[in-house]
Amino acid sequence: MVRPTSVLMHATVVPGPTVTHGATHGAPAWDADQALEQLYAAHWRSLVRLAVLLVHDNGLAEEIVQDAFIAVHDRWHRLRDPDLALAYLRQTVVNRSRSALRHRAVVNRHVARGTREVDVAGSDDGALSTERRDAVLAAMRSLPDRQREVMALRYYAELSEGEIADALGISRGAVKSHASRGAAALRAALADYLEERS
Amino acid sequence: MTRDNSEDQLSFLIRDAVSDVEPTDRLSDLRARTATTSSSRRWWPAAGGAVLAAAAAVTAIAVLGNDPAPTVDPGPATTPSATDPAPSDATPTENDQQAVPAYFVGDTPQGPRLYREFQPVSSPTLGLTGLSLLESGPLDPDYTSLWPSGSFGDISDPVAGVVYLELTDAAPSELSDLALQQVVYTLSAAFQESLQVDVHGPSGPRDDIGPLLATVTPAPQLEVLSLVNLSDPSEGQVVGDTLSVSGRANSFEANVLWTIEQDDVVVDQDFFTAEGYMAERLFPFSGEIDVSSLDPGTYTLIVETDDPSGGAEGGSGVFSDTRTFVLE
Repeated sequence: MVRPTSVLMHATVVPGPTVTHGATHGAPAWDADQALEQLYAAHWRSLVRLAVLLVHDNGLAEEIVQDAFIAVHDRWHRLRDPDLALAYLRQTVVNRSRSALRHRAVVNRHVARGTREVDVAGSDDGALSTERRDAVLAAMRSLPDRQREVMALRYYAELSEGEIADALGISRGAVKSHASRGAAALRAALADYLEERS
Repeated sequence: MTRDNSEDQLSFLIRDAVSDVEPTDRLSDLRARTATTSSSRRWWPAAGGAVLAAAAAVTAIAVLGNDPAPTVDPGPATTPSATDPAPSDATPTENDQQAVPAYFVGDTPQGPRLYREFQPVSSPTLGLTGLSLLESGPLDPDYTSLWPSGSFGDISDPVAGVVYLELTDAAPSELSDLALQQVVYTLSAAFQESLQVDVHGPSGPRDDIGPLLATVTPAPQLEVLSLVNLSDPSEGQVVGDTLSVSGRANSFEANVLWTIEQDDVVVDQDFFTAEGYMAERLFPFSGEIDVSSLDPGTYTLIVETDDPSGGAEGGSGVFSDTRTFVLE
């Protein structure tokens, strides 16, 4: 069963890392615990899916997103604009996914992994869609870090170029460049599936 | 969704690839973990007395007030902060100067390790000042820095616990682990959170960012820090009748042995008791030494860890830190 993709990650304005916020008096209406519950209800699934696109491993993705939620909870009183919590969560997920991949790359040199890393829940999807999903995740996995992050934030989280630049701490020009190279690489890797649909 | 162009097809494929991912419910786990972490993480620790606490808070606010960007990531929530970043013993000095911590390299029985040194700085800039201290070097002649002048280029504010740091051509071509730990410990102390530092090489004229050379997080304290480290007195400090001493240590039974020498002759010795030793970190110690009976002159204060094994049986050996002080 292919569920309708619900993308819950429409961003509000994301500040660049160097934007200074003048006002600090606007205290969060929620306390940290309430915020955690609300953010979890709204974004847990979509953030885990984003992380799966980045790390190609469901269990690891959940760990990463869980840690991101805890990080935001711990800093709740310092977030000058609680509306930006989603942007912080997303940045944390992207950064931690990158760290996790690096860590695993080192570990993998010593431990050969033969098992499939992504477990697919729907068994009635049919072999074709399972194979296609595997191919897409594998193709994402084969991209350089920045390209993979830009692809996931653009096509899954549906962020604008400027929002991606802020989330990754790179320039808009770099986002363009990574996006164009990443898309070209994915098109080449997934040519079979793209042709089917054209 | 129209699928008549490859953009939309890619978008569909990417979303579809994770459309069947249904994460397990971890909300109760999250509640349990935040219930314990929320109360244990603080921006600045409570100091001894009420007046001291107030002064420390003012200093901390002054420093944090410069923080231009909100940050969310204090490091992996499952591990306590690897650094002991809040400089509770950073006291405001004269002329609105602030004591800024930087981590330098000194010898120990376990090879070179990091020592934290506070230097008085007027109007410090968060993060940048710590790095510039690494370039300008330590006050204590027993320490050294592995970063020559001009090593550091651009640095970002922490975003989600990650700092992007660009090196210049003046930086060492071989980056040792200890040199990188100097940076990550110094920046983590400045921003009072356990940071990841992504170290990039110089960017070319057409690059936005230089090549990534290393990704560094703070190594465990007991693997990279000297097991005893003085904060006060500072090197060459002039003192009156009382020598105030503070620092951090991890020493057997929390004993921190101290000795005052002049011209290699011991003139006094005793010990301090640190706040603990049964954990993988350093613990604060402090005390006052009555030096009113000593003649004016230049003295050396030596603090040492207690090593009952005498260096045998896999003991870590005796770590020490020294400061010269002047009695008037």
